[in-house]
Amino acid sequence: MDAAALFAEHHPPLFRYLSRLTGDPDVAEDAAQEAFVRLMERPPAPGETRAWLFRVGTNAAWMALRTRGRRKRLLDAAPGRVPLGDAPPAPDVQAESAETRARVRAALEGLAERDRTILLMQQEGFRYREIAEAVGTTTQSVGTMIARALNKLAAELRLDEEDGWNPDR
Amino acid sequence: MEPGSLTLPHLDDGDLLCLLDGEADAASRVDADAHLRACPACRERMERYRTRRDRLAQLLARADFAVPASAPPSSASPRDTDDAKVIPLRPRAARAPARVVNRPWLRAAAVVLLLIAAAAVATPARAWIAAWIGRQVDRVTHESQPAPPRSRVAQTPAPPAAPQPSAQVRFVPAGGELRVDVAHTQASGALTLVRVDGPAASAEVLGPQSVELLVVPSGLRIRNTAAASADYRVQVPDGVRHVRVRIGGGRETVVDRAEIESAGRTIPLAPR
Repeated sequence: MDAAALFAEHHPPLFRYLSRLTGDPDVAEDAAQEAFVRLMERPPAPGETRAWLFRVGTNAAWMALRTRGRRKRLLDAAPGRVPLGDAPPAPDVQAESAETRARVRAALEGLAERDRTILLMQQEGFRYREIAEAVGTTTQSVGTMIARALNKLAAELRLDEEDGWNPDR
Repeated sequence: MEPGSLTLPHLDDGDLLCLLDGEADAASRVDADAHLRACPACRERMERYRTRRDRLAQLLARADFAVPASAPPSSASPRDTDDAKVIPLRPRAARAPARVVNRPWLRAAAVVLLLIAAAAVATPARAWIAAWIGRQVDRVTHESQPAPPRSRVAQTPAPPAAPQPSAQVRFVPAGGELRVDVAHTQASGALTLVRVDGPAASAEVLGPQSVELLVVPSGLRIRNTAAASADYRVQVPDGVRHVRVRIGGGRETVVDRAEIESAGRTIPLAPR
């Protein structure tokens, strides 16, 4: 399969996953592009492309977030040296989903990096073996980690409401 | 049976998630199914996890950002070491792929420039340079010519065409669940779910039928009629954990990944 076809097939789900992981579409898009650049440089074995792209994209996204965190801490420590200019563009918020997005974002950020990665990879339908390889754990422990993450999110996102569950509430 | 009266220990949370996600091996599944039949507490816990997982999927989908219209990176960036990572800059997302300039007239222009330069060099070298330029001009001229037609002898007859489906769609399901909504029960025909490698699903109508296949956010909608008799084949990618099939607005049939993987699953579309 050629690069354009691979991109068309894998980019939308990869971007979706990375934007859920990071909460930042810019970071997600950069990390996705980074993963595709590396795919061209060092392609994985046939049949492993999808898991490989998600693994590399995950690492690139976490690295970008950490770099951004360090930069923010430096700027916060020296407010007089903050570069002048326009404020960064507002995130792509649409009125109807902004509140839901903020609520989901806050809940996900309450999870440890590894639990968040595992849970979101499960949501993308990955095998436990692939998830375990991506985060460096055993296949047997993936189910327990997903359960732990779901338990934590259940309260904050009211996932256990009995009647009339409303995702926007 | 009350949980306290069971001789087997309760299933732990990890076991329940393995069952839900189709990750338990055959032996574990048999044991777990036996336990679940006897233990309402574990059944309830499993249902709770199923609900949590499905509701989280809904919430995530509602909170998703729109996928940018990006182009694939045009080329790989050279790197000295793994530490020196090149993080692509934002504009790359919107950048069109670089075009490789390979036009014969450009090469010809370069040859002409070389020709002028050759005129300026000393006489002993001139003959050699002129010969080299001649060869380059010949090569450029040759490359500009259209390719000769293939020999008739070399052509092999095309294999007989396989019957083509009357409609076909291809798409990437969002998340681990795929919904297939069939508008009506039919006079006859069936829907077959089979596994496919890779992230993309596909669906096709088998037979000359005027049936519409629509890709919707939750999966696939088949717009058929009650008089139709078509068969449908849906290829389900590895990432989909289960497929929810609803026919004619009736009850939903949930097909797990393990079922599709073993032998495929065929669901009749005629009313029972």
